[in-house]
This record gives sequence, C-alpha cells and structure tokens, in this order.
Amino acid sequence: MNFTNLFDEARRHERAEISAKQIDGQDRSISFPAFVAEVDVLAQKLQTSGVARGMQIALQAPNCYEYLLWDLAALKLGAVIHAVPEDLPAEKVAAIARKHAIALWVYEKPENVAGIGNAVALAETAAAREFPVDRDAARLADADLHSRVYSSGSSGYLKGLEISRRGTELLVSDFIDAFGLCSADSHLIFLPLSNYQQRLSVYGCLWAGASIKVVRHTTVFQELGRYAPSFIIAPPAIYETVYNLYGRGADAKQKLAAFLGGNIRFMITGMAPIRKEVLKAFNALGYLLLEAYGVTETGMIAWNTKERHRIGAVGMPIHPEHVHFTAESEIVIKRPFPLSKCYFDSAESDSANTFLPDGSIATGDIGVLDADGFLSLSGRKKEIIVTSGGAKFHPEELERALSSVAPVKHSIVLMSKNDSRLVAVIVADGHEDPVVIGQIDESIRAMNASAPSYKNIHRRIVTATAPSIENGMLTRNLKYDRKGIYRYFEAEIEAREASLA
Amino acid sequence: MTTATADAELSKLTALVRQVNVDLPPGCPITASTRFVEDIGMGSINRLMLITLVEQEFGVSLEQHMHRLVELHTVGDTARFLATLKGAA
Repeated sequence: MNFTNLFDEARRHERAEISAKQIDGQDRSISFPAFVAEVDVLAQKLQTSGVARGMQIALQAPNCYEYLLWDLAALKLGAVIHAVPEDLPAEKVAAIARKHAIALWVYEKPENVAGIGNAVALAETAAAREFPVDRDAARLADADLHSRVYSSGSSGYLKGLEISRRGTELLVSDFIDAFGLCSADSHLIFLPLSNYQQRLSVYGCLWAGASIKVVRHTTVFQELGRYAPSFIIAPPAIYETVYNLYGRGADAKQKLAAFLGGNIRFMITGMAPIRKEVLKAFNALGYLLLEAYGVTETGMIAWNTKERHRIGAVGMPIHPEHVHFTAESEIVIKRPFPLSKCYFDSAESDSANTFLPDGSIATGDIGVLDADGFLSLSGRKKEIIVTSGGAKFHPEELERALSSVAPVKHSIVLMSKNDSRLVAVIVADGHEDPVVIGQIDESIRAMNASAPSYKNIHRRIVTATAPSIENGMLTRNLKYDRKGIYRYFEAEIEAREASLA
Repeated sequence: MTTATADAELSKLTALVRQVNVDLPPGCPITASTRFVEDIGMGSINRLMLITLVEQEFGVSLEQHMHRLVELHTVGDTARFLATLKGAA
C-alpha cells in the first residue's frame, strides 16, 4: 500500500462499500469510488478555505462517516490530522489548542471548542460555506509526518505520537500480505477511529477492496450478526464475553455462527493477554482467533497467521531482523521506518526511555523467542517484581501457572508492602467452596515446592470480584491495573495470615 | 403496566443478567435492587452484551437510549425503563 496511489486503488473497487452512520444519525452506505469522489470534494473545499500541506486539522469525533471523509481529505492535501480522543474533556482540548498551531478544529461537541474561532462542526462538513481556517497556522515541514495521535499506553496516561507516512504504508502492506486481504473481505470497525489502529485498517481495506462498516463500540455485539464481517480486530474481553455466552455446549458452533454472522475468516486479538482456554475453544470450533502483538510506537511486531500460529505465543515476528532483546529480555525494535517518529506532549523521560539514541525503540515488554521462532510475552518491564534480596522476576510467570488451575478466571500476583511477601489475588468460580479453595491452595503449594523461595506465594485472596474498569482494577486498555488491584484488596493483602509457603 | 407485567419484565431481565455473568455463583441473588457494578462486578463489555440480549428478548432497539441506560445502576431501574419503552412502542 502506498498513499500516493491509494485513491486510484480504492476507485478500482467498484463493488466495495463503506457503511457508517453520519453524525446526524443517518445510515450511509457508499461505494469506494463514490466515497473517493466525496473525499475529493471535501479536499477541494479545504484547499479553497486555506488549508495547505503540513497544516494541522484537529479532529475530535466519534466513529462516524464524516471521520473517514476528513481523514482521507487531509491525506489528499498533505495536511496532518491531529486526532484528539473522542472523550477528552474540554479543558484538555483547550490545552491542545493553546499548545499547537491548529489550522482548523473539527468537532462534535461545541462545548469542547468554546473560545476557539477556527472550528467547524462535523455536521457542517458538507455545508456550502468555506471553513474558518487559520490561514497563518504553521505548516509542519516533515513530509513523512502523516498524523498526530494520542495513545494511552499501558498505564492509561495520554501521550502524543507523531505517525510516519512511510511506517504506515509498510505496516499496512505487511497486514494485507499476511492475511490475504482482498475484495471478498468485509471488516467491522467498532473501536474508536481516534485510536490509530482503526485508521490503519481503513487504509488497508481501501487498498485491498475490502468493504468496511464503522460503528460505535456500544453496538458491536448487535452489528457482528447484522453485518457479518469476514474479519474483526478486538481486545480479549470481547472474545471472552462471546465465548462465555455462545462458545460452550454441543451447539456452540451453530450459536457462534449466528452471533458472529457466519462469514468470519479470521479474528485478531491483542492489547492484553487472552486466556488460552478461549483461544483453544474458538479454534477448535473452526474460528481462527489469532493473537498479535505491537505497540503504536513501532507498529505491529509479531502476529499469528493462518499458516503459522501457536496458542500461547503472540506469533512470529513479522520482520525477525527488526526484533532484538536486551539482557533483561526487553523487546527492542529497530526498523527503517517505525510507525511512530517520536512522542509529543509527553515527559522527556518517556521519550528518552523509549526512542533510543541509536534509532531503536524500547517496547517495555519482556519476551522470548522459542526454538521455532514464535514470540511469547511475559509482561511489562516496569512490572517486574524486585524482591528484598534483589532477585527479579515477572509476576506473569506465576499468574500463568495459577490461571491454568481449573476454577481460576484471573490471577494477579502482588507484593505486600508490609512484609514484602508475594500475595495472589485469585478470581475463581466457587470462591466460597472449600473444595475449590483447597484445590487452589494445593496448586499454590505445588508451585511453591518447585520454585525458588523468592517466587513463593505466601498468601492468597480468592474472590468473585473480577477486575473491571469500573472497579479500578483494569486500565482503560483493559489491562490489569496493578496499583488499582492493590488498592482494592489492600486490607486483605496486608492481613497476616498463615503462609502457604 | 400491571404489577404482574412488571414482575415478568424483571424476571426476564434477571435471567439475562445471570446469563451474561457466567462467573456468578448459582445461589447469588439478583433482585430489583442489585447494582450492576458494585454488587455483581459487571464490566462495561458485559453490559454491552446484556443490552444486545435485552434487544433480542424484549424486542426493542436500544441504540438511541445508550446515554440513559448507562445511568441506570440497578436491575430494577433498568427493568422499569424497558417497560416504559415497550409501553411507548
């Protein structure tokens, strides 16, 4: 895929369609050639209004048809979409406005752009009058700067990322090749378009002629059956929920086919670990559910594919020569054109720790390649537990072992602040059943017996309370918020109970 | 709406809540006053799935009512809201 020819390629796919709701709530379905024609009209209007190459267009919008128009029209002009997260509150939007010389703001909620003169409502996209562009706004000179986006990272803390045009082209091309994307495909996008992954999917589909439907995440489960996509990309929690309801029992295959629409060719998951049980179940039922791994800083790093997949691994590196490991097993990527060029609006220490002087990018993830070349992740570098004796290990090693015990749904291993001992928080079916408790304790004792003493779990909390964003135990990216989990169970973690070690 | 109808709606919704929350112990009571998050730890994605099942079971479209639904914290409040939607249809 290359952006220079993207519009010509999309025009060739006469039968491919984009479907989405307009911001006014009306459903829209349009062929790729007709869509490109609408992009041309918007680009022309932007140019007439004063938008020039390198100028920034700030876009704060939910998933809607107009989002796609603005993104592609900016691309056509060489303008830079500054993608503001949909739910960013007004005071933070104002901070962006003060800091960045934005030529034009495009908004859904007027209260978020109060006091900003050069702003236009999404609903006015097709209006006849010119846009109120700040014609004196700075032009960014970097020809490889495609977009500015924000990523909440693993901690939920918002960081700005400058997205590379060439990095995007290479990544999208890799995806099209690896998954054989073609005009027979159809893709349901429900995660926010302000998250760059979704825009990558749009570019890939436009190039390959795969139809696209864009919806809001709140309707994802209804739309799966309605739209019947051939592939989706979703966090593990979506697949877990579908599996819980439809993935079990003698008629699971029929129930899944009905719920997912019956056309699924492959499904991708990432962003957080997924239980092996769920992966195995989908694949056993004929659904290719594939784990993939990447970070916005570098782009995708590894993925399982139809031809080469292994449950429990995040796949084979897409370009093995780009993947390196530090002495601590941190994954470091060195590639000619990573997806991101640098951070903006973030702490200097973040940049220094991630974008290294030799041009490589430190992911913060700990991983290992097996003998066959599959990559497995064992956790985040910053989550490594350092014992009072100085030994280091990642809690996910223990958590994976605990999660293989039948009734265990989640396990999180933390260190007590009072006595520096390891405590396991275990979410399990039958958390009050003495038989279940006994089974868990027995498993912990067996693990302790075969592990060095610094990896011994001394206490456990067995609960029915699953981590969620609402109870503060998951980040917005659906990853364990270990500090939140500690806070939630602090009294139990610090309780002096008999040791299991 | 009669009390019997309201009870029937609540009963249907309770069954769906139990269906979505597979981790709930069988004896765990779900009543009109049960709170989705605080009492049964229901996450946001499970709530989306519940809405999908409600649409199927109650024969209503909830897409335009998402803002109202997320403000409803208990099973009973949600059952009453669904009953008003059905009544208005």
